[in-house]
Amino acid sequence: MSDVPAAQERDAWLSRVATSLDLPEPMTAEVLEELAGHLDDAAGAYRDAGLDTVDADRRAIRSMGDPAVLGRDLGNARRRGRYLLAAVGGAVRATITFGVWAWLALWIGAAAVGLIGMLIASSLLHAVGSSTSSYFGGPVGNLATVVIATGWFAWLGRVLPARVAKSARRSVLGVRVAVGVVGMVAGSLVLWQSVSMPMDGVLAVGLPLGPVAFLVAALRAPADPSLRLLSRPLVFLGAVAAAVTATVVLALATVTPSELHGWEANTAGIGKTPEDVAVFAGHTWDVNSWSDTTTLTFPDDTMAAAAAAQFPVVRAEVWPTTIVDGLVHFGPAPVFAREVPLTTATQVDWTLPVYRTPMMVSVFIVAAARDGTRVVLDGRIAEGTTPVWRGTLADWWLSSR
Amino acid sequence: MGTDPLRTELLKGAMTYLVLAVLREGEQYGYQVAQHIRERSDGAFAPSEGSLYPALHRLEAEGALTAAWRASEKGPRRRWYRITEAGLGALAAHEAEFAAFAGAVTKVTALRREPSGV
Repeated sequence: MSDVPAAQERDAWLSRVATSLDLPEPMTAEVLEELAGHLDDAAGAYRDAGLDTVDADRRAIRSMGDPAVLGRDLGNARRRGRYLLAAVGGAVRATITFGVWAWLALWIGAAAVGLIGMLIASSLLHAVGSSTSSYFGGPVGNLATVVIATGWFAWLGRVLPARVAKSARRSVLGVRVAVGVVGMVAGSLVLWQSVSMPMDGVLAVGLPLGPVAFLVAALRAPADPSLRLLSRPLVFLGAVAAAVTATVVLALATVTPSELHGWEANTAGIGKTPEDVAVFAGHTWDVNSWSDTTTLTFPDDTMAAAAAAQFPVVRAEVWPTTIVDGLVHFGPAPVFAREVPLTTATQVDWTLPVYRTPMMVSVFIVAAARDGTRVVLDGRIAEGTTPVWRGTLADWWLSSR
Repeated sequence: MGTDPLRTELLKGAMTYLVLAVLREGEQYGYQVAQHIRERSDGAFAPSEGSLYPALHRLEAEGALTAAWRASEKGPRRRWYRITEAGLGALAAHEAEFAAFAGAVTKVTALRREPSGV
């Protein structure tokens, strides 16, 4: 006979039943109470029959049979008839109902984390003497987006298994792997194939981490994922946010914004000025540029013919541009060019190329001679960046540029 | 009585019938049901007592039984089971089925014991 005390043997037997039950906590507790009552009654009967307490307890336990088999059969009996329906329905219901809360929380969290992220970014940039402008966009803003999305996925992974388990009448332990894997696969499919958004390298690398965070959190999901306002993580985050806010306020109060508007551009590499070319010098013409089209009109046909004789085409060119120490530099060649014949009324359409990494560009309207002479008729220097790349994660990683 | 595999298999099939039959006589909790099955069968049906509970819970899920927590005669609360109208109907169906089955088995085994002579 084993030396393990009968009480421990009894607890171990009940524990093995609980493990095999795979039911939510309240149902497990109820089943165990019923079985414990049976053990008490049986042990009492054996004691009445003359056995000592230890032997009576052990015989009562043995009379109940294999705890793993009993737990499995009892769990199946409690879920009988509607297990699959309940599992699927519970998962769908939990996802939808919880999704409303999660969606609200996402935006509240996004606002909070975004604000903190901006404050941290501003604080760091102030520390190195940079500007005071907003940092919601660009890599810093997108990093904040990644943090928000990953945190949201992790939170969903932490909470959802308990809700699915409750609806499906299973234990959290029994559904964690299924919920985690299904959530990661579904989340990845949605992120990679369905969500089209302005994308950059930070988002392209960071967003796929969200479903992975969901899986990791789901595999460790607790049975009762309640979130208390005074829990240590929230208190810690609150303290960090308060410290960062105080730092930024102090930085804003002491740093003088830098001057950004004193830059100069040397367009000699693009072409000559009209004043340097006889056919244009001393004459007037109109150049009107809108977002993606430019018209060029001459006051009379004589001047138009003279200009066209020397400069047969007009080109719209988009040049990569950088500003270093207040001086504008243009790239070695235009990234976009389109030319049309120069006439009395010339219209040339142009478009800005789209790159995965947006670049600052300048747009020039240039008259080009057969001998290579170029005249810059109009310029929109360092006016903005190429449009933000937009698409799904799959598009991003399969894109060639 | 032994615990041979044949008896165990027969008992598994008959457990639902036995539980309903015992509870037809009144509300009881699990331990009492097990004891009554044992006593009524003169020890012939002495299953592992744990195997009774899946049957009780399954019958409850099917609506053949209702269950409620209440104090036992010894004090601590127990889960008392009561047969429902649906349970009585199921029992009647079981009884008819079992009678037909037992009759058929008896006929076959009688044929083997008393082969028809020529």
